[in-house]
Amino acid sequence: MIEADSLRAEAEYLVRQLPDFRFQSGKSDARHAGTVARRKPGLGEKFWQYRRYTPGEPINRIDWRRSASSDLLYVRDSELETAQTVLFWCDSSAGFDWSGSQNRRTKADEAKVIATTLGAMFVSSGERVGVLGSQRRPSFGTRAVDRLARELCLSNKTHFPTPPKNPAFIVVISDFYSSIESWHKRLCSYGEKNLNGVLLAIADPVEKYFPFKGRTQFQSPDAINKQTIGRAEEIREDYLDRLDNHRRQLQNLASTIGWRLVEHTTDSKIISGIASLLQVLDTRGQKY
Amino acid sequence: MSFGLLYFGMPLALLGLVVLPALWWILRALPAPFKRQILPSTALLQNLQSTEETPDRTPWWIILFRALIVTFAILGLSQPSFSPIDEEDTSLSDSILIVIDDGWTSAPEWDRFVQAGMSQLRRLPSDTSVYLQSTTNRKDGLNPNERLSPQEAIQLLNNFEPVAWLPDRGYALSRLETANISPQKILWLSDGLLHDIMEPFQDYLLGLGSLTIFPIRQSGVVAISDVEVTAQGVRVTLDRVSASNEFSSTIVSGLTANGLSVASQEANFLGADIQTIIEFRIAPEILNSITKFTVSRSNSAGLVWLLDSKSVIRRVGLISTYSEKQPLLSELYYIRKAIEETTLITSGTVQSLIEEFPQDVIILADAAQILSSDYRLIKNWIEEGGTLIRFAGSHFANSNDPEDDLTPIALRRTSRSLGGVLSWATPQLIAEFPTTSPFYGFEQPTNVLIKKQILAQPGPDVTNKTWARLQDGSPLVTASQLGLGKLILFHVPATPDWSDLPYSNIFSEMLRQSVSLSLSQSVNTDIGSDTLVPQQILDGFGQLQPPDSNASPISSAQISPTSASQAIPPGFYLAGSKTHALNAGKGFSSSAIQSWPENAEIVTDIDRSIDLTPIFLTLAFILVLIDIILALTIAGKFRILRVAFTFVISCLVLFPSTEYAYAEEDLSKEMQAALKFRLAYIATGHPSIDRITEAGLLGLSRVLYRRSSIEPEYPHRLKAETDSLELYPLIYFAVPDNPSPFTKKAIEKLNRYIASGGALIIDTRSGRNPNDPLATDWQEVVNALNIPPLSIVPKTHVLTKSYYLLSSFVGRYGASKLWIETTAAEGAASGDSVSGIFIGDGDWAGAWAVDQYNRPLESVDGGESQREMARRFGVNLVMYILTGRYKEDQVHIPTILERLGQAKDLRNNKEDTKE
Repeated sequence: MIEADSLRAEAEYLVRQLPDFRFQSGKSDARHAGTVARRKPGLGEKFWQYRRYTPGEPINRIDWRRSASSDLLYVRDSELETAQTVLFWCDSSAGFDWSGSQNRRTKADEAKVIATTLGAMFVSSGERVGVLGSQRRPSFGTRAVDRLARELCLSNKTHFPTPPKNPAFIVVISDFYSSIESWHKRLCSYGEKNLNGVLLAIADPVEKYFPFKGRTQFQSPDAINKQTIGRAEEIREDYLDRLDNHRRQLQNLASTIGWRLVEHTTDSKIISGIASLLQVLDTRGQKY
Repeated sequence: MSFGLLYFGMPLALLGLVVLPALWWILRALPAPFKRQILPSTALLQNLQSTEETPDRTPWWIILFRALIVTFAILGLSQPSFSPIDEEDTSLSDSILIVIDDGWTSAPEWDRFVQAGMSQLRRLPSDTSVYLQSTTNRKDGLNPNERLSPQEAIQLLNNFEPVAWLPDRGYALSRLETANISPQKILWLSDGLLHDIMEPFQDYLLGLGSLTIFPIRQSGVVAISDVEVTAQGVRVTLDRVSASNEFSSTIVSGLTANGLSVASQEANFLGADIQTIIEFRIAPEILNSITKFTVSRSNSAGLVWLLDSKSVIRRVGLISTYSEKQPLLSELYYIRKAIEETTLITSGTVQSLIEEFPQDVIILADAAQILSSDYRLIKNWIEEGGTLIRFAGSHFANSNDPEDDLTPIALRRTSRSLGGVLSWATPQLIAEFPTTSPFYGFEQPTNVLIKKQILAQPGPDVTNKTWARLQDGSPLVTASQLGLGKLILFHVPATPDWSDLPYSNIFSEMLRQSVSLSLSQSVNTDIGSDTLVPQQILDGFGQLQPPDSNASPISSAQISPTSASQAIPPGFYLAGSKTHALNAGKGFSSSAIQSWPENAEIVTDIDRSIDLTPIFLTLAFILVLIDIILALTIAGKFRILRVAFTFVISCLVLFPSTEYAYAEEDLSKEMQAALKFRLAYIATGHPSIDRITEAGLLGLSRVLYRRSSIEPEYPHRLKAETDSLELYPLIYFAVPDNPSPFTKKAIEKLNRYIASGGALIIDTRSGRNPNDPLATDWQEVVNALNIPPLSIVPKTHVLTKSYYLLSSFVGRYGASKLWIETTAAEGAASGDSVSGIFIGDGDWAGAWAVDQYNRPLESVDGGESQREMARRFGVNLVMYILTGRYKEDQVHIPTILERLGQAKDLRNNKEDTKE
């Protein structure tokens, strides 16, 4: 289990290697004020542009100083400044806090590092971050990263939380080995609330490549599922098919609620996982 | 059951072979044991099943290998034997008598006996009547009255074992006559020895039918017939019955109770000798641990000689009446050194030595005072056979107890000094030992001078009773008989005060001889009329067994004359608190049968069958071992073996060297301490205190070096638990503020240090708080120390004048107090009572402490003048510890000189305080 302090340290280290990231503003985001300039006119404090006064607008919006220098009437627009709320959820089941090799860290630790790194990046660009289903409200500022790291490290075996009341961007990190139906049930309510999010599926290479041979009894870490296989190498293809199928279904599920699925394996570089995630977030933003 | 040339003792075990194919089939069919794997995505495997199971991947040759092991084991268990002779002996008719000599003389060849009998029996048709007869007198013997089938006879013979006494052919003959059987054939398994009767028995057997004799050729040692404990060691007598060239030597060993051989020697028979005697020179304490003598590779009761607990060691009691505080000055030390190798020494009071641990000899050193009530006790004890050895000396000379008649001759109770200031006589040498003396034959010492002695009253019997005398004829050692016991008096003490005798070898020889003379008295005390209860008895093969139901307590009258029998089997018996041994071979005197009757058939090997059981079982066992290695190799666990092997090797190689290195390092410190005088302090674990203490001792060392002839080396820092404290004449201990108590080991070592003449200076450093001088937590630290009563140093104590004249013992603090042992403070009348412990509060080390440039480190209450006084105290202290109290003698010198009118000069000199 990774400590909150080292989590923070590693996140900072990773953040330094990554380019700046800024959420593209979406319509729905305009509702809550924040400090992130969205490069378009809107509610904010900084100057954005002068534009011609459109009749019908309230008179008090006319910028008289600018208008006095010419014959036209100008309205002073400020730049839209909002803040996005990003909520993270890391799976804390026994199966997720597991690694196929002593030299690799567990999927859960990987997930926490990724979440903290993202959190640190978002915080530095002025967003609010928090943990999904937490009592604590999402916050911004440097302290927010610490708080995030600490909360991620509290292993709360609670069920998947219900969607938050306020709009937020959700990052769900798990291995998603539970049945598609259960994930469907969990995520549908999020889709109904029109919340955006991304699913990050972290897998251990052992799960991905199934390198087993001979007579083997497979057992999930929580010892719920047990399966004895006469010849493990024989079912490898079937297993990989099933895994593939599962991922596809998960992808479909994400698509139906407008989310994206990102995959990451613990033996690949963590920074590449984060980068691919950021890429997805970027393209997602361009939808709007 | 036999198959061709193979015979199986347990044919049913062969059924096990049927299992083998089944085993093969099962092994091939069983799936391999599964490996456990944790996989979080196990849920994905739901309802997934492989079409085929992984079979056990054991290679076929391993299975074959294991089947081989099982086969060998089964074959081995079926007791196979291979016999070339197979044909049924049809020449035999319907009855046979087998006579077996089952005494211990047959034990070495017993297996051959049984096999011979068995092979004969096996070849008989099953309807033959078999009669068996054993020739010893035993309850569970073979009875010729019973008519047996060959099969039953085999069973009986198989479980039959020899006994630990000799055959009684007369008895056997009477049994046969009573049975009155008429077998056609007789097989006599004979031990080849004559025993009680031979001819009648032989004739009777010949008269019955055709006689076949299977004799043992008794070529080796047959018996240990005697073991005698002598003053030097043990004399073992070995017997054989025929002179043969094949055999001429063997090894005889003395074994302890747990089978350890502590003495062994080769025994040789020369030419046609049938008896040989070997002598062991064994120290008594080793002899005492020997419980039996055996001939190597012996397996007969006659080749085992049990040694009982009749004391071969003389038990010597030393009467200790005062504490041995200075062991090297103690009389008992010299006595111990002289006799400890050959005797068992106990010390105690007169009462305990006589009543609780009966002693053979009691040694009464000079200083030991006997209470008058004990005289009676000792006297009775001597009259019953004890030996009292006394040493004269100053106590002895001064005591004038009229009841003390425990001397061999009448004495003048004053000492005679030879060669003193007021004597014309010169110290005397020891004269040649008189021929009547037990010391006769000892080399006359030429360098032992006697300076003082107790003289005897002249009388007619002095000459007879003198064992050693001086060259002027006066007795040195006298002895007399008292009742059954002896009284021996050395006219000098056992310390070198009066003579050089205790230093010399002759002292030890004389003392040992005196002690060994007592042996004859206490060893030969017989077992008395007690009942002997069997503790352990010998079986025919010479193994000790718990007594069976046949063994019952016997009276001592039974045991001595006769040799062993059913009623008194050889073994250990308990009589009161002593064990008594009865031996099978004792007085063995039979001889070999030289000629056999001509009309009897003599066979030497009836049975050539080879027992295959051990071969098969050994093979199976070896294969199992190979299999284990194979299995480990295959499983890849061989690494473990290799690691273990490497570990063992490296342990063997590395550890001795590290130990050696450690020892050497430790030694260097001890060598330093032993070769050069130096001060030392006990590390407290508080670096600041230790630093100041070390600097203080260094400062004092420099002062001593400059001002006196004491030239100490750099002080040593000691750990009370591990360092050799005894190498340091004085040890300084500065009590830290929050002291941790000494460990148990440290306490023990410090106590020993103080008791053996060391000096421990405990500086509580609490002088800065004069209201509470000695009631601080330091007491807890030293509580466990063995601290004698203390008192403040009196004004006139030698410590105030051992080098400088001092009036107080100031340290860093103005009003310092110093406590020393009360006895030393009072100045005991005699002896060298230097205080072993000094407790004070002055923080002297602080006052002495200097840095490398001799600059003082700590402030002192009274400035430089007080620091100087503190240094002077230090010099005085070291002087006192090193030189003792001799300065005290000077106390009266001023008075004397004053009378002579020179007091003034002396005073002036004394002002300088240096001398």
